[in-house]
Amino acid sequence: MGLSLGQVFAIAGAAISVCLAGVGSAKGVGIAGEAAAGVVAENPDNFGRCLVLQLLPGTQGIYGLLVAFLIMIKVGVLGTMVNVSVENGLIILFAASIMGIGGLLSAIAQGKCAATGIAMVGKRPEEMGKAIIMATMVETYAVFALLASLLIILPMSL
Amino acid sequence: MAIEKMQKVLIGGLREDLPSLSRRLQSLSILHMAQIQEAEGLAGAQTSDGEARRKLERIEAAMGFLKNYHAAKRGMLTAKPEMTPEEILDYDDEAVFSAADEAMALEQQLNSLRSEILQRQNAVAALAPYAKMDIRLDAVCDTPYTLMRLGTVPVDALEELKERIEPFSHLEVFGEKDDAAALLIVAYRKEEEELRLALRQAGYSEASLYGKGLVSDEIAALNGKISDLEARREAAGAKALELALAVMPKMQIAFDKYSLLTARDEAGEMARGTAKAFLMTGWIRKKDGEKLRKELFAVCPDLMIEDVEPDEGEVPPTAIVNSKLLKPFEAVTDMYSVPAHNGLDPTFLMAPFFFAFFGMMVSDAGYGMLLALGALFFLKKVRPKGMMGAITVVVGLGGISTLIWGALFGGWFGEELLPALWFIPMDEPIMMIVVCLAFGVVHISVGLLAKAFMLIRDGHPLDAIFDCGFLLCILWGLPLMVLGLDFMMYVALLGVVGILLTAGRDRQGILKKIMGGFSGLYGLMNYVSDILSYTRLFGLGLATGVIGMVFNTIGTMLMGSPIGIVFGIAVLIVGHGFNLAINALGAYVHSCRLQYIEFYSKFFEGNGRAFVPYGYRTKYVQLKY
Repeated sequence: MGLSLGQVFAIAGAAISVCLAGVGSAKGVGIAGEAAAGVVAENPDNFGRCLVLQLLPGTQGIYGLLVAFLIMIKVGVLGTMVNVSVENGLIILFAASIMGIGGLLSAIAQGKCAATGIAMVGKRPEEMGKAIIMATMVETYAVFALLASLLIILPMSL
Repeated sequence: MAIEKMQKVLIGGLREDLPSLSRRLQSLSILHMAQIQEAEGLAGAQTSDGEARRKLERIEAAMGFLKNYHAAKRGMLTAKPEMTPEEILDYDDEAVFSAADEAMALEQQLNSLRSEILQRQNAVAALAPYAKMDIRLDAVCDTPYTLMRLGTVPVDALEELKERIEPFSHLEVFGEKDDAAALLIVAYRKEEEELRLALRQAGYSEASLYGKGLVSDEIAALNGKISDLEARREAAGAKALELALAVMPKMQIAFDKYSLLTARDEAGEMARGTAKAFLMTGWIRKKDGEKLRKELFAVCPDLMIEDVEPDEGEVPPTAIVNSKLLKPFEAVTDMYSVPAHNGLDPTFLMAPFFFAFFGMMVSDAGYGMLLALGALFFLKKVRPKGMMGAITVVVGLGGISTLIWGALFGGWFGEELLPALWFIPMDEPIMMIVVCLAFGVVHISVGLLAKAFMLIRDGHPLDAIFDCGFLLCILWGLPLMVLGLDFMMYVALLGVVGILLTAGRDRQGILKKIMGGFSGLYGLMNYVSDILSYTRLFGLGLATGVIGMVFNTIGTMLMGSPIGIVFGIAVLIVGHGFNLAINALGAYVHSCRLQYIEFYSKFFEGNGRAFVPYGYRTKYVQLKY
């Protein structure tokens, strides 16, 4: 199966989106998880609270996958391939980079924020809501990246 | 939907009446106790001997130990037992204290077993390198002409040491552990000084070994003892588990019994008095004044109850009343801050928006049904109270909102099973963004109106126009102008000019006033970013829909063969469950965020103290009356 340059760019976009955002989430969830393990070791009752906080930086990876899937559906990777011009391929690549880079950096930042939130929960479990809200502040920018990516990709007619 | 007026009261009476009065107050649960101001001749009026607190601590310690065993065997969804306060207070706790003693003895036994095991394990670890040595340990001793040493040196220093002491000694290496070689050295006694020097330079450390016989025999004996101790430890653990399962429910009730009694003692500690009389003070809701007097005089007629002014700088606690439907939403505000006593209860303003935002961010009718039914099931089965119960109700209501929005946008488990009643956001993204921004403008406007209301209430109508009115002109003027209502341009212009002229009115000097005007205008940027922030409604809603679609695609792709159908269904169930969970969490926290940051920043005065009347507060038992 020969691929056109446009299709290659589009698939590269899907790859960038899912990889970078996924790496960011993996790092973020990892950072938060390390902190959570420490707090849970002190008091196992905090497991549920810590889990919610640890999960927060995981959404970027999902957003990345989401953008990648949309690209795959558009380009027809899952069925018959659609012809993609070089220009359109590049547009998709750039649009996907928004989610990739935005997700990568915001997930790591959110992971750090969630980790300190988890430390806070260790000391004052009743303040968990505030810790979640603080970590959610960071997530805003991942949501915006997702929105921007999707607003470019969704209306495209290939 | 409002913050209650509070009244401070002073209650005085005979010391002998204090216990019965305190009991009545606890059952009434209308007085928020406050510390009485110190005065000469007043001492603590405490009548209790602290027995309740000591018992509470005993139960707490036992529960802390047994909890580790109990937790593993407890079901996830169990409701708390329901009891009346009287039933709790009359609870027969005889068995609980003997069980608590037993638990503490078990804990002590487990601890000492643990340390004995550890001690022997350390001894085995120290012996292990010498396992092959065929000399009895009690034979390793100095003689009139020789010295015998057992110890370790770092592996790197071994060669040098060997060479140095070779002429006057015999050295044997038995094994290595952690980069240290285990040695036996036999040397002439007359070279003792030289040996000591060489050993010190090599970083030698003497081994302290346990036992007398052959090392291998000693290790075997120790290991035998260890497994013996392990068996005893397991037996004690099993006993603890059995005990936990048997008494934990009883202990929880007893715990609540003694926390109720301890609360009584604490209330007594707040009172002050002389040998014969006492005084106590606190806050009540203004409307409870009659009730307080009637009920307390019924208990003991020799009382004085007076309305008093608060002390200087004393802030009344905040008591909020809301209808049953709005009540759960107070939890959202409480997570941020308790409203100030003279502020505005934001619950009724916030709840409709929270309801709408939550649904928009999940925006899938199928998920909405699941959420609402799940919350209903949880409420029926577990009957959660307090924060947990409130959040469950809020999420359940959010589920209904989700159902509505899902039907409007045509989202049913990620597919368009039923045609959209309004429009499909993914096909008309611009329309959807406009809807989000419109929600933002309305939400922020309500916040500004609330601020204007408070300013007018406090007698600053001009400030209301300057700080809120002009902003509202711009907030509505600009978007409507863009939408084609030309005359709105003048409204927006009025707002801009108004802000330019009035934003600096508090500053001194004409130059500073002008600067203030411009900085007020620049402050509009915050409103732009606030309103743009509402596009998250679209972003999160889109995420739910597309992730659901992805799982549907994968699921149907798998359903090619009979085995595939099983896998496909599994993917669909797990995938949608995951999507629902993560998006419901996201919708909840982002709805909170839109309230806290974009909405409350406009008018909310927090940092209040919650009104916590002296009453029955339990941890494990659900109170019924």
